[in-house]
Amino acid sequence: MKTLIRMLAPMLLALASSPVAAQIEVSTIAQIEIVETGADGRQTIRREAAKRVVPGTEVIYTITAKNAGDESADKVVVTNPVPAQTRYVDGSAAGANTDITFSVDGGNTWGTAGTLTVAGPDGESRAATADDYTHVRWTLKSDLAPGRQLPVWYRAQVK
Amino acid sequence: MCFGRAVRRCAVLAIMTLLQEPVLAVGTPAGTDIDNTATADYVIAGSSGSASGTVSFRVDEKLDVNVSWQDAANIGVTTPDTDRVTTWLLTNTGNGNDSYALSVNNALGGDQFDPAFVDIYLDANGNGIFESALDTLYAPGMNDPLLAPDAAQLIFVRNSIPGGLNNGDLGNTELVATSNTASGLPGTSIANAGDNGTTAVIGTSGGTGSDTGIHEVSNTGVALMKSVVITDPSGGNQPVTGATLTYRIDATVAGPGMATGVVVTDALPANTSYTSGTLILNSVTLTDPADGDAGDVGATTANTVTVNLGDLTAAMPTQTISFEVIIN
Repeated sequence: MKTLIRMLAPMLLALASSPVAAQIEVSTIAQIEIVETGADGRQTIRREAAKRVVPGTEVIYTITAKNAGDESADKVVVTNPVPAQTRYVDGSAAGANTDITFSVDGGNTWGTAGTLTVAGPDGESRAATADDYTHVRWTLKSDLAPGRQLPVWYRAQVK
Repeated sequence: MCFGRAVRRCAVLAIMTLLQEPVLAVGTPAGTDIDNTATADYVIAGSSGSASGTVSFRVDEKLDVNVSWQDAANIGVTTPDTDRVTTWLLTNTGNGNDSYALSVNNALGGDQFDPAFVDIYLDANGNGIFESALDTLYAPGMNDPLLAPDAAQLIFVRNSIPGGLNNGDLGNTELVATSNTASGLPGTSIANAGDNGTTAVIGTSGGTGSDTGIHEVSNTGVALMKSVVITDPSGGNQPVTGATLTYRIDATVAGPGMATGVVVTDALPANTSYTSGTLILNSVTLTDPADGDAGDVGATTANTVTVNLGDLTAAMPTQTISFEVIIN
């Protein structure tokens, strides 16, 4: 009986906290690039945590989903609303082994770059530009094995 | 308005103004926190889950300023001239509140003379028209214009113009506005100097804005147009003996500034006799002798009509002089 309870307990916990407990950990970091010119005139680009950010600064967001559990995760989808005070930098989203899609309507509908449209001021539909993107989404094409990380990136310019 | 050789320069200035016009809107205010939460959705062992991570940073204050000369063309001046007004627009193109020290630099190259700086006024009612009684005399450090992000202030600079210059000579004047928070190398940051305790970062303007305005010596021209109406004794219009010639002279001013001490003289035609009491200025009859009124016939100069029109500007109505002679 005791054994049965010990066996059931994790299952009950799992049911009670459905969806499953955080086996996937997500970290989001914001960085800026510092361009430094050495004595020899060569430029090096260094990244540091976002500070001294002013309008016009490009911020690099790195979102890392890590499988901290011991079971493989599938259908991993990372979604990030582009902060309202920033604009998505065209062509900047990247992530290995992912399909990247965008939304221009707050995350209701999704499409790849170049396929989206928005209503212009005259009500006529026009092709969406990077400025119109409200969300970026990365859909992992395969499973995320235990211990593996999925880093994805994009750049946003502060308005 | 563009005059003579200034016309070409006006066209160039108009293009420059267009290029400068879209001063970038300032954007996110200093002190704003930008939060970003990313979410990962997934399925493990048939159960869906979701996890998220958040990062936040604060927007610092960018120090940027723009000064733009507003006059559409070179300011026409005479030589000498006093208190000539140039108009400027000072815009806070940064993202925080800032105040600016103003100064004028007239020791510039590329011109023929240096205007003499008089004073700076802040346009109090924003109408772009210099009104010494209404606008605010600028005192450095006392009433430096304080501007919110994207806000602008119209500014007037007055300069005097030296004497002895030639028509077409140019005199440049530069208005400089410098952030009281910081100025210098773009990218330089000053901790805690920004709004809401943020770091102040010097923007691409270096925290300083300036522009150059141009005075141009432009002699004001007085144009005289003379016409005559003939009335012969038989009621026709033939220039026969005894016919009356009614001369009319219209004086108009073109160009900026003021034509001072304008005197119109017109010699009476040979073989004619002036008809006494027919000298008229702007519908008012002038006496023939040299006396208190503006005109005389034959007194200042023999056989000549002389009318002193005084100081004239283009804004004043046409001055009309008429008189009659009879063909001998």
